[in-house]
Amino acid sequence: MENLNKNQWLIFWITVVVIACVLMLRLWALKPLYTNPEMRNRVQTLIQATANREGWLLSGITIHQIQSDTVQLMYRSYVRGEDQISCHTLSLTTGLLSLCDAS
Amino acid sequence: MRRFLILIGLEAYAVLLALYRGLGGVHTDEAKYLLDIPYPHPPLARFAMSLTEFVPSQEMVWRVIFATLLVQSVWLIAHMAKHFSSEDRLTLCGLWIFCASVMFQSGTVMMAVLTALQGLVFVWLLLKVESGKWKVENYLGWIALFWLASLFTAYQVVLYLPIVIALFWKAKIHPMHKLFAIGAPLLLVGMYVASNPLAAASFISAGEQNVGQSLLSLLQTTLKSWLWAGSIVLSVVGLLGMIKSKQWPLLLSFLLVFAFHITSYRVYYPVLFLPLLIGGVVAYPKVLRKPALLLAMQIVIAVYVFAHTELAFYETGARTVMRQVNQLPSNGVVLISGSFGHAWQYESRSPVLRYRPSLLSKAKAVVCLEDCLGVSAYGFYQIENIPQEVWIRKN
Repeated sequence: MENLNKNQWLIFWITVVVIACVLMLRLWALKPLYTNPEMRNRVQTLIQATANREGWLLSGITIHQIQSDTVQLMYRSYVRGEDQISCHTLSLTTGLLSLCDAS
Repeated sequence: MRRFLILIGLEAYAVLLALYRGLGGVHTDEAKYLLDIPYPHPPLARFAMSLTEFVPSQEMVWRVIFATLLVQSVWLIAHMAKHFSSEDRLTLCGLWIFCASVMFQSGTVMMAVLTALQGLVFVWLLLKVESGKWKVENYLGWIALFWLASLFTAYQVVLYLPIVIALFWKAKIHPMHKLFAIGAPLLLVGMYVASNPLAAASFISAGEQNVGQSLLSLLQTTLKSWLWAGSIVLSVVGLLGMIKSKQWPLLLSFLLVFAFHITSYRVYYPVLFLPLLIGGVVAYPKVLRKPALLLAMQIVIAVYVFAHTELAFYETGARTVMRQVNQLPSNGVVLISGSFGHAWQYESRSPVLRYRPSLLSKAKAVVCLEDCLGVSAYGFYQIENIPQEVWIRKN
């Protein structure tokens, strides 16, 4: 316990650095949303249209990666027990949705 | 033996409060946390809750845990008041136990309950430091870690920032070290919001929800919320204590909680006032003049509030409908038309999608909270004796 007390600041800073690294990676993947307003609007519109068409709940959608002409989305159906998770690629030019392994 | 009996008595009270809250079933925000749906709050507590999804009575387990935490916090309050006379200490503990927000919010699976508890810990630490008998420097790393964990439980803990700043302010460490210890967790939570666009969007929508109301009506709601939080008696004596003791961190936090209620009022936020009210009384015990009378008034008001509260002995439509749908042997998704909350997902064993006629081929059941155009022509039959319009696929 005394050892833990001695290292309390170290534990705090390690926790901060680990969380910061994880969040930086996630922010890096979403970078185009913050740097390119046109891309942000297009992604938002297309995701909403896709959710509307597929019957998806917006709370189940996670943006995994953004490239110049596609967005990789994960859709998770939250239920009690094991959730169904599917990976999709959304074309930013045509609006077409395909499964990740099919593209 | 006496302490053990008090502990058991308090636990029985906590379980009763949890059972009372569980009567109506799971509500949409509770379902969001129990299923670990990633908005609006950061993941720490909701992730822990989702690990228990396999437990058959997951919801009730967490109701009892939350109620236990809030009710048994009375031990921490007794510790804060250990320099009080035994009559005053008993009164303060009684004021906590018979607060409307403890009675009605302790059995809810809501982050506000955890945030209030975290606030109580910060208030306890602040008043411990003020007493001068405790060297805060020896524990600042843990306090910084607790601040980080609290922010990653729910954003609202930022309302207690003045208390956290006061805690670090008094410590004899380098000012930059203080700044980073308080600021780094805030920065991380900001990064979390930025990395989760849905959380950011729900933030904006929460901030805009009271825009249409007049300032007078918002003030009335907030005043009612503050009075309700402490069953009037604790609300008044707590605020008086804060003012008379000139506890600026507590007063600033009180103003932040008040302003937060005005901008984003929800029925589950009054509990956020509680730790500050307790802090006010502990900082200025003289407000407990005629303690027996105050406690008696608190109990009478608590009973009055309870007697005038609608007791919902019926289960939610989501639970009734999904119990039937879950028994169907067929596979497929459940389609729901109209506006629905996460409680429907919580009660369902199959994926839930919004109703679209083009998705009927994938569906095993359709719940029509609004019109479901085309369902009757697609090989579904309607089941009866159920509160909602529900259609099941013909085999």
